[in-house]
Amino acid sequence: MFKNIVIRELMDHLKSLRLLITFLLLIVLMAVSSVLFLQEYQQQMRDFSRNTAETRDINSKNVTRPAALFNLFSYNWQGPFVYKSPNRLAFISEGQEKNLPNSFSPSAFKIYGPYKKLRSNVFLDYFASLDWALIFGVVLSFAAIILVYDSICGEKEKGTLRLAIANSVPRSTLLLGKFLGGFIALAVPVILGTLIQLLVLILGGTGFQSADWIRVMLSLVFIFLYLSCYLMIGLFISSRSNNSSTSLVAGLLVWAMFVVVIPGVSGMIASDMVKLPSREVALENAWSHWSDVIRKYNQENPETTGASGHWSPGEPLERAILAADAWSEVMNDFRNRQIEQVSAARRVTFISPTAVFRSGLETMAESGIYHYLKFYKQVVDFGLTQRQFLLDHYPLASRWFFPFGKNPSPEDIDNYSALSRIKISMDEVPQFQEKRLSLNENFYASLPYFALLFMFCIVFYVAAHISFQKYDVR
Amino acid sequence: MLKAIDLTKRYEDGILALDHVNFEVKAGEIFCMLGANGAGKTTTINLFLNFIEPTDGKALINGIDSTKEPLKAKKYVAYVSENVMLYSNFTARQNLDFFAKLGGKTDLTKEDYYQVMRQVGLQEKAFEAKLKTFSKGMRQKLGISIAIIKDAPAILLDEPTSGLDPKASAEFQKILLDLKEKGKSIFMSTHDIFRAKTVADRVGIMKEGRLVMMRTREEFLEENLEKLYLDYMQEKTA
Amino acid sequence: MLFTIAKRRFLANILTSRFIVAAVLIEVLFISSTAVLIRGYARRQQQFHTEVQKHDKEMSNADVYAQLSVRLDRPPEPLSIFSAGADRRIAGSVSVAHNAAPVMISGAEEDNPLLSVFSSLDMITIIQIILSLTVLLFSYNVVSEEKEKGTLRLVFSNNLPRHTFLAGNILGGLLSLFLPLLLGFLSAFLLAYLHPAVQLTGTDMLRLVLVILAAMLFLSVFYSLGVLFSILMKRSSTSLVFLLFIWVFLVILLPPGIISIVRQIKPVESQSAIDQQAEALRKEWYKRMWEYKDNHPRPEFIGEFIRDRYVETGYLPYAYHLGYAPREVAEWLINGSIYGHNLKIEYEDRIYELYHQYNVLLYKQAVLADQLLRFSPSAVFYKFACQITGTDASVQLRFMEQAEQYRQRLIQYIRNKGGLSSYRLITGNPPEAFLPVSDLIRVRDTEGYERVKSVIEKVYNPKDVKPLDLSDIPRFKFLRLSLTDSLNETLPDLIVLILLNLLLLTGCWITFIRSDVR
Repeated sequence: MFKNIVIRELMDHLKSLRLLITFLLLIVLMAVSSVLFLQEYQQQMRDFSRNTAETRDINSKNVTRPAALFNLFSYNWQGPFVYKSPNRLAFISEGQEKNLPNSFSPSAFKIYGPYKKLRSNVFLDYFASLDWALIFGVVLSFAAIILVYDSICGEKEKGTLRLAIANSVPRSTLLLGKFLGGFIALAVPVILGTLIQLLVLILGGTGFQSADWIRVMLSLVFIFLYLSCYLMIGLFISSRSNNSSTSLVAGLLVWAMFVVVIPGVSGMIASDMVKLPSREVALENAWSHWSDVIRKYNQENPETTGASGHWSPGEPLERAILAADAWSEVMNDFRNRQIEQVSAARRVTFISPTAVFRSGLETMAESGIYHYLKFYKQVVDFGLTQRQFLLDHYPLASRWFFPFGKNPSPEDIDNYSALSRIKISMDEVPQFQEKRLSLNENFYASLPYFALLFMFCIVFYVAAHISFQKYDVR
Repeated sequence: MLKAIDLTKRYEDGILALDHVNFEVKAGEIFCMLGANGAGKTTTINLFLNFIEPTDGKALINGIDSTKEPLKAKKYVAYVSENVMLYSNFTARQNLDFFAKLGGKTDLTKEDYYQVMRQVGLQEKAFEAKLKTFSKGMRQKLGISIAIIKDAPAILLDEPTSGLDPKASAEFQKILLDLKEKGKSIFMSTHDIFRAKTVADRVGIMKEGRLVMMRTREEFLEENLEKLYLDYMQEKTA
Repeated sequence: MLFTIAKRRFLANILTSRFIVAAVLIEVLFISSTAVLIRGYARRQQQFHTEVQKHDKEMSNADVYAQLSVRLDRPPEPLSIFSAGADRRIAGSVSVAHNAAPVMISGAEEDNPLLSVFSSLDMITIIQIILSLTVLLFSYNVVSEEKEKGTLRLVFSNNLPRHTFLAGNILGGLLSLFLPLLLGFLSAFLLAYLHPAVQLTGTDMLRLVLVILAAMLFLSVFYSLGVLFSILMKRSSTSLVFLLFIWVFLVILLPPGIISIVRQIKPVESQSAIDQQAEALRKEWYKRMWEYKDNHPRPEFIGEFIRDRYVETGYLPYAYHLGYAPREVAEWLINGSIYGHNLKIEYEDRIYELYHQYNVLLYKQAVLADQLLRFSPSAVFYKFACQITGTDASVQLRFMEQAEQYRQRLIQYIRNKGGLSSYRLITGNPPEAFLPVSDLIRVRDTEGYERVKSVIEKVYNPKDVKPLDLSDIPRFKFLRLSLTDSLNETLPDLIVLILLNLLLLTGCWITFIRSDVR
């Protein structure tokens, strides 16, 4: 009996105009977006290669200069930069990466940034990309509502519901049958669209790896969970109304709330949730901490005077490191709070399954804010690597300095020459290489979102179930 | 008042819905058109109301050709449609008010509306009730009151008693006879032979677009109308 | 009879529960989104005032012209409460000096660039998305439902011309749907108007009126579209399905699609390419400075005779501030700095041109996108609203241009004060006030270093330094585009909306005149 119900519902959907249009729309969107993504990705790869080559160039020039150590690890407020690598899974979720900063300028002392060195255009208004987060997030949920909004109340209006219930079929079976019929009907265009897109991307040569396939599979699980969620919402609303047009209005307004309004609220309350000073104030604070440390050091070590913002040939390394750490403490805290501000605001929107879905996909594809956070951590680690390299080549305990305002002795000058002539080869210099998440890490990171979406499904299923049990079928 | 002269309608796909139909309904006369589903009864009404245009012939309302001057012609006819839902979120009076105004009656009072609704036998408590609470019979009565309030000399009724219970049907009959007393020309298409026998002054039988038989009241009261009807219907299969 | 039909359609709409639900939701959204935006605006306004005062104070700290740097602040746009647009993203503040062109832009979002992942929910978005959807939900069955119910036949059995019926239904329907729009807008407006931090001028209010008029045009596009489909389709449910998918396509999917396509067909360089060119220019200036220094050998620097000589990081040969130095050194520094700063002005002019051209190119890309976006009525409306309220991204271009104009005035001002041709560039005293090095050495050797110190302090004492007199410095005030200019720019968008309306209404009329009412 269950099988019959499912087949009938499925047939009904397959013959309907709504499914046909959904099907066409999804296929066209997936095809268009894959072509666009391919172009975008290739351009990003070109830019990335050029940018990293530039960084290598600057580093190799610095290696040959006198005082190579200083040039490599100290004078970094105008570069060279390290960049986020382009994401070949961004077709799953671009996560607004084109609006996010993509580079830092790290050194053994301070990390400057973040910077946005992208082909972005401040005049082009914010619009999302045509990724799975948008296509499935918007169109699939919309189609789910449209497919089932009259699944119960419409049948009541036609008189077929009472005919069905007049038989010995439990209501829960009927509900599940409607759900499954709708699910299968919509799963078909999803799978087809996904296959088309993957085909285009593989042919286009974006370098798919085996781990990527698993990520794609997991993303599909997300998508199917999300679909189930909205089917349940649609069925719930259908079972609360006697009139299909009321059910439709309610369904669409709920959709608009979840998909448009709630995600749109987060940005506005972000600044209320986590207070941030302005960047200028943070920088001033950082530099004043820096000055304090310098001053204190100079007091404790009377032979030292002055200081420049970036460790210069001859300045005590120990002082430079202490001061830089004081600066970094403020700025790292500031940057972390920037991230926290966004994450906190995002968390508020998790009352909407669409917001959960989008964040889940973002984690799966390692893009957006999540990517930025990981990238930043790696940049911080790289800074420490650079510092270790510096310490390995230049004694921390060296208290040699170029005494400003006094006459240096010949011994001082000799020392300075020796130290500034330390040679290193390009091969030794640490290079930044962004590491992407392992599959394991990906999986665990996206688990909470899976759980949340699953919970949404359960909640809406229970609600629909209870509502339908009490529904007047006459 | 209502005159069909060689009224013919052939659709684009070749189907001949009406084939040179001729009849006349004078003032104070009830003309019932009997026929199977699809015989052409509703098509006749649609031609009078200029919902479609005849291939040949004329439909005249009060001497006005409803094809040539539809708006003018429609001033003289009222229409009771088959199984109409009306506006479910409005009350009976509000529905009546709306159609009265469309029919040109712009200065009627609430009491006027109540009067007409009483006349058709609607209960007082239904006057300000929303249409979605009405039964089929009640809606039908409201439909008649819409026709009555227009006070047009001719009335076209399309299957007005289909689905009505015997009591409502009988009430409806009384209203029709009242209207006839007032001198209205009434054209009614129906299946209900019984009702036709009771109220009609003349009866026509339509079969596959042709008016195959016409009898006056005296004539069909003598003959067995039911047998006549079935005979004519069966000629198709014979 | 037009009135009768219109009144019926109007009442039929507002008496339904779905209308009440939709209207309440819309009202709540209008009020809550505006309330949040008002708070944000009040905070930005407060910040603006604080910044202006802070910048004034900072500016007045300069005691020599080389240190004079002016921060230009742009107040937040009050109408961004209604149409958030790009106002938050755009530069709120830019720094200019005679030797620093306005290229360092800091937008409010630069405080947290990560915030750019969020979109905002403002009145315009609510109209664009929620109201347009609601309008469709009330227009998709205007004709088809009456046909299905049989009332259409009943209506046309009367002396009623078709166009009257059509016009009446469109009029009545639109008026009913404008109710939540106007109610929502008035509530939002009152909230803003009554808030102490918000000052709206008469022109501002006029701009808002224009936005609401455009909103009505926009909504009637969707209404007419709905009516058209309700005429063309036999069944209401078919009409609805088509319309909903058309809506999703036009409102949600088309704009990002077009933007992505435009980015591919008319790509722009990333800013780092321009940064590199600017860097190259600076390096060239640097090189010429060193060449100058090679041609003008440096006198001996004896550290103990020099006070408060500040140089830029990277050891430029010349200082931007000098407290005290032996006369020869002072003259050398002054001459070098004068040469360097005047030369820098030329280079900064060219650097500005670079960034300006780049921004113009970016702007052109946006213009192409706008032209293609005319296929989406919601995008057209959005653009109109942003431009009329002064929250569109072109404000950035204008801010930059006005900043550069101000910089030129600043340069002229400094020249008039002799700041670019005399000692006043880097020091408060003419070189004659400083002792030649031989004298200073003599004093030190005969009377000791303490004596030298007091001699120096008589001329230059850091505690007595007076800041520059800037009472007559030109003041910057960001000029918004006038209403007439805004209208000129947005006229094409308005015309598109009007044309769409005419097209759809004509379509409705043509199809309805001939359609079957049975």
